[in-house]
Amino acid sequence: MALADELIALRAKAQARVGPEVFGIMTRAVDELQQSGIVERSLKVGDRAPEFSLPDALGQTVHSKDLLAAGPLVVSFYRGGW
Amino acid sequence: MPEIKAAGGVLIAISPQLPDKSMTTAERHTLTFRVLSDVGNAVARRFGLVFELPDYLRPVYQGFNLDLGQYNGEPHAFELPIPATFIIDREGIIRLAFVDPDYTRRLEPAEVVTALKSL
Repeated sequence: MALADELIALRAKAQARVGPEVFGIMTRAVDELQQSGIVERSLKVGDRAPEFSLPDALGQTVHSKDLLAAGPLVVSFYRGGW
Repeated sequence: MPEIKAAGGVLIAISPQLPDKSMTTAERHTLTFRVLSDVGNAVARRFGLVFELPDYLRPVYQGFNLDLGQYNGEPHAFELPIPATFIIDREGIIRLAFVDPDYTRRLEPAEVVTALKSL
């Protein structure tokens, strides 16, 4: 099934697991974020992406410049594995 | 992921987690894509993605036995990036930007592949 469908199903499961009150609190946080305008402040298509250097899981430093020399980058930001 | 590679792209995932906390040693060595540690969210900040978890949400996380300080390090424990995916072309220009505070909605992988093919 498409990712979007899986996520909708997961979300329903999460809602069932944490209960309506907690789920309501978490939904409120998402809504506030959307209204805060932070999405407007994030980088857009056409903007220049900043160069960056970060350690990978093995402690090696990865430079975006080096990766881009080989081809386009798909960069995914996430909150963490928890 | 294989489709992304076939379309010429390299996938990297970035989170504020300390490298130790990101995964087990075995997992670290079997990854097909790089997972980078942006402790303190310095890079996420430059992409305009960082927010602070509101006070009223912190007890919820504590109720889950989730001590973000342990995962992310202090003092930035409650700062998180909005989940986002960008495609950056070889000139360093952003060609796709998917930024959604609703963490239950994500970009379909097929859209990434299509975008890569159109570069």
